[in-house]
Amino acid sequence: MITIQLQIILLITSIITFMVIINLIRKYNLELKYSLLWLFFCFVNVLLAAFSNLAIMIANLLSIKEPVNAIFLLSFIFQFFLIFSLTLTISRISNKFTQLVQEVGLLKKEVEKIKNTQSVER
Amino acid sequence: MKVLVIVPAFNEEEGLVRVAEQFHGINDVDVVIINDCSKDTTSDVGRRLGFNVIDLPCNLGIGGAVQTGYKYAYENGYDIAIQVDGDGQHNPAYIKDLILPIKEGRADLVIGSRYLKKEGFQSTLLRRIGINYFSYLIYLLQKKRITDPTSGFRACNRRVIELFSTRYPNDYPEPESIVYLLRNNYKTEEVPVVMNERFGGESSINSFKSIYYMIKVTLAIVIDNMRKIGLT
Repeated sequence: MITIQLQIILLITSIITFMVIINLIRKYNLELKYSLLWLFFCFVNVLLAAFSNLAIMIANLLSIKEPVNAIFLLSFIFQFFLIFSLTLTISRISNKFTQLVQEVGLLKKEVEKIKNTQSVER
Repeated sequence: MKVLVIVPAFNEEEGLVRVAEQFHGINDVDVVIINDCSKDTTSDVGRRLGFNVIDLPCNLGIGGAVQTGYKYAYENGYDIAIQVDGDGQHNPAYIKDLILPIKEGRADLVIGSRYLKKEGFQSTLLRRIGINYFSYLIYLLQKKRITDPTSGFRACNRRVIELFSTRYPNDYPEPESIVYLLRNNYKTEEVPVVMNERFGGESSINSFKSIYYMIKVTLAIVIDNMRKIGLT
């Protein structure tokens, strides 16, 4: 069984989260690309809260006694995915950052060379 | 009027040869190739063909690459910037058609559309459905009929160059940037063009990504439509 209180809390928090995220994207504070996963999980949360049968079904499927525990398990998996996607993004960014810094270093050297040859010509 | 052609290129060594052939005899525009950290010889090929090439040190995706071109256009005082894909899809012979509404002051952004006269390569059925869907979505939100919102063959004036060089959507930028302009009361217009099938290279959108693409662009358009007028 899922209590109606839990359903309501779940519903309200996910709807508020959803609205906050959309509003942040709207104000150009969040990048849509990185918010998609959040929005998707909010959407799933709303479904879970609105249709209690869904949680009961998942609980039966995984032989979990209490549907609430199934919801906990799902939230845990969601968190795992979110954190993993962050790790992935950080790795990509750190690679690009390395490339960028190296490029700037090389450019600095180039500029220095050009400056030196100019001063010699004078 | 100083006109710049921006050619974003990612692994387009074959496409660029084609583009160079098409640009043969067109001398009144400058061309800049934005090499988005290609893994092949795009940069060398571009230089050998006599183009101006900007090499990005890491891969930014189509939005970031094109925006580099707009920044270049802005800093070098160009009056008109035109986007042309690096795969030979877009025939530069239409550039004068694209520029005309801007010269006459009728439009800020001119889009080359495959679907106004329905000639030439019309893309696959599934893509046409997707394009129609975006066209309808934009009409619903902005009350403006854009027949080919995903077209990457576009020209814009100095005002839009300035706007785009400060903010331009990251991935799959075309439909979103149209809504972005319409929301800020810029004028857009479409002119009929004939597009070729792409030569060499790969389209940036394959079948696996298409669902992600539809959802992402839909959300981007709807959210942009929720933004205030003047927020850039």
